[in-house]
Amino acid sequence: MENLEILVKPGSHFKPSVLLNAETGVCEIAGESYLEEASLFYKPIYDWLQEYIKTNKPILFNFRLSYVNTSSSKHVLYILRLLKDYKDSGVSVETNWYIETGDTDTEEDVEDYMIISGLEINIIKAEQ
Amino acid sequence: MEENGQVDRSKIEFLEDFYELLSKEVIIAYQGTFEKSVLSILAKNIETSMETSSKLRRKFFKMFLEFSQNIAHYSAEQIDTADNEKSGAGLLIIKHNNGNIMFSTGNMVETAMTEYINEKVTYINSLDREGLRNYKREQYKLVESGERSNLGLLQIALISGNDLVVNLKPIDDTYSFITISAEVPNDV
Repeated sequence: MENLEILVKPGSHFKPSVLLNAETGVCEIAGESYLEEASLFYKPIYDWLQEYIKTNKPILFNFRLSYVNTSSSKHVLYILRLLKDYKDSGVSVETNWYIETGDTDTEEDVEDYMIISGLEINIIKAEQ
Repeated sequence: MEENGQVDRSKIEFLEDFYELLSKEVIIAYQGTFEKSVLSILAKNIETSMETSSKLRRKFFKMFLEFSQNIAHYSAEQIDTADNEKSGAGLLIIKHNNGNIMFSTGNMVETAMTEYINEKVTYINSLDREGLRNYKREQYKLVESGERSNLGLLQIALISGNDLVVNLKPIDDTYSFITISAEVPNDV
């Protein structure tokens, strides 16, 4: 299975960059997600994940999203639910969310995502 | 210019005062549509013109996006833009206000919506932080099922840590003009 890579121009405030590695199982979504047609953007990501979970290989998902708009949040939750189901099936699933130290707004958002999806997410704070 | 060719001094003085006000207090004043190409320019402006910590800049940026999104989606004045998108039109002002940064927007809404908006804002303003967060989690469920949510206004209340201030003024039988403001302390 192929990797999925979505590159965006540096400094883009609207689309996050995506790298899903089928070989290592390390996945990352980074940047800001301000999307009007979020379903078009996130569909290839679900499709890739649906395909990947058939392999039963471990996955490490790193979120580095500092802004998620309303229409994107629906899709982020969908990914988290998918990861939760995958973890519940007995596969090793690790989810990290990197936030800038002091960004309590994003930290609260991630805590809410955890409560809603039931998936444990490690919040990793770093200076930027 | 007046008809007799004399410059109207009072108009010029007004412009001078207005310019001084803009340069001292106002960080951004924009009126128009809120499609991505415009937001991109305004976002760049916020990044370069607001001298503050990266933590606060991020907060201001989130406030800017939530307010802009609100106009783009809910303004009753929907306009075809150059990007072949439809976007709501309105007014956005970001200004210094007694040590805080004040975000204000103004746009047209259908008068039929005003009762709904007032109700939601009154409810949001009545909640403490924990209450707001519980309400937000309920709203996420609406978003997931594709229903209309109040996440934007809720996020503004949470990010600013302050009440939303809403004013509604009827324009005619169908439309009203709504202004929404919230302030973020400049030192959080």
